Amino acid sequence: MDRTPDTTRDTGRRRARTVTAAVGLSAVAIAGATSVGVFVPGSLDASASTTGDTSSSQSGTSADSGTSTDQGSTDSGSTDQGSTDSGSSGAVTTPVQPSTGQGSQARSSGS
Amino acid sequence: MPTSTPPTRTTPPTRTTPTLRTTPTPRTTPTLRTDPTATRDWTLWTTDARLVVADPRLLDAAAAIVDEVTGAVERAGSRFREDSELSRLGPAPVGGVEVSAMLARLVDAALVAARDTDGDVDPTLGADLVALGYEHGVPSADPAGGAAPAPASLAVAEGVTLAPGPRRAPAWPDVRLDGRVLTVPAGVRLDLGATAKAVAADLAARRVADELGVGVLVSLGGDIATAGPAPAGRSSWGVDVQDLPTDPATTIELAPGHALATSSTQKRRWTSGGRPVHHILDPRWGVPAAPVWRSVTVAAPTCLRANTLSTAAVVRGLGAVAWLTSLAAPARLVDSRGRVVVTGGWPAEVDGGSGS
Repeated sequence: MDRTPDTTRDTGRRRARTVTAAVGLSAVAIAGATSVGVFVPGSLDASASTTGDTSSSQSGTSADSGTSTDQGSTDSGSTDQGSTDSGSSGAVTTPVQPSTGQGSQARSSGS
Repeated sequence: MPTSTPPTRTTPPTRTTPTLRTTPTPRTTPTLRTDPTATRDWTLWTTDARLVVADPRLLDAAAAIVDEVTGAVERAGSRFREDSELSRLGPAPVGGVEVSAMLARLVDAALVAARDTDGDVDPTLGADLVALGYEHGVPSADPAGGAAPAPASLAVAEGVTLAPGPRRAPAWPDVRLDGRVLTVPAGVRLDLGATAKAVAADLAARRVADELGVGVLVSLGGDIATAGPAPAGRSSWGVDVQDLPTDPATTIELAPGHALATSSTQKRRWTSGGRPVHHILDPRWGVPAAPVWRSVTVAAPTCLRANTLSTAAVVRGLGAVAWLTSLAAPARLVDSRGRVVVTGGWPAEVDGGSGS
C-alpha cells in the first residue's frame, strides 16, 4: 500500500474527539484515565464524540518531538513501560507525540 | 547521504515458498525530496507488510534481512503451515522436545506475554481457534460444515459477550521451556499468532539497523517496530493510526527505537455456528472477547510489548483503561461507537483529531 507522505491533505477520514467521562465507560476506567490527565476536560456529551468527516485540522505544533535515539531492545522484557516521568515539572514524556506535519511512513491498524 | 532515488530492487533471495505467503510484490516507492526514505510493500501472512529504510540505497539489503527473519519465524512458529516446526509438534502430547532456537524464542515471548497479562494473552488457544474456524490463516466462513460449532451461548454484540460455560483453568502455566526443551501439556495446541508477528518485527528491525547501520521501520500487519535513527531531517517516524477506513484516524510521531501495535476486533471476523466471531479470544472462556473496543493501539519500546498490551486490552474490555494507565502505557482505544480514549501520554485528539 503506497501512501503519499503528505499529512496536510484532507483525507476525508473519520475523526473523533477524545472521549471524556460519562460516555459509557466504567468508573474504574475513567478513574484510571483521568489519573494521568489525558482526557480532554469539558465535554461530557457522548453524542459529540465523533465529528464525522471534517476538513483537515493539523494539530501537530511541535517541530521536534525531543525523543532520543535509544534503540530499545528486541528482547521480550516485561518491565518496560515506554514512558518516563520528566521529574519536577510533572510532565510526562512518551514515545508518542502529536504529528509534526512532516508526513507519515506507515500505518498501524489491526490485522 | 540518503538520496531521493531508490535503487532498482534485485531478485529476492531464494527461499522456500511458504503455504500462506503470497508472492512478494516488492515495490520501491519513490519518495518526496523532503522524505528521503525508500519503501517496500508486500503481502505477508495474509496481511500487509511494509519496510521503510532511511537510506534508499539500502532497501534491497534490508528487504533481504526482513525476508530472512520472517521466513525463519514462519518456518518455526506458524500454526498454518503443516511443515512448520510448531505444526510438526502436533496436537498430541509433547514432553520435553528440543526445539530450534527460533521456536524457543517465540515460545518464550508468548509465555512472557502471558505472564505480563495474567494470562490475557494466552498461547494455548490453538484448539479453540480451530474450533471457531480459524485454521488456515484466513478464517473459514464456518468450521467444517458446522461440525465444530461455536459454544452454544456465545453472543457477540456491542459490549456484550456471554460466556459459554464454566471458567477454564489456564493451560499456559503448564507450558514449560527449559532452555530449548519445550514441554506442552497433553491436548494443548499452541498458537503463537500475535506475539510471533511482533517478535518478527522486532527482530527484523533490529537486524537491519545493526547490520546495515540505517534507520528502519518494519510493519507487519500494522505491528510496527523501528530501530536506528529517524529519517534524515526529522526526529521521529510519522505513523497513521486507523483501523478501518471509517474509523477515527490520527497521525502521531513515534520515537526511533520504539514500536506500535494495534489489535482489532473488526479484522479477521467471520461467522461460526451462525454467529459473528473475531480472532481475539478471552482465555477464560475460549470465545471471542467482548468487542468493547473496536481497536486498541499501544506504543512501547518493543513491538512484542506493544502487541502484548494491545491484545490484553481488548480482552480486558472496560478494565483496560485503568490497567494501561497503571502501566503508564501510551495507548489509544477506540470504543464500539468510535469514541477515542487515550492513556499514558498519548496525544489527545480534540475537534478533529491530532493527525492529518
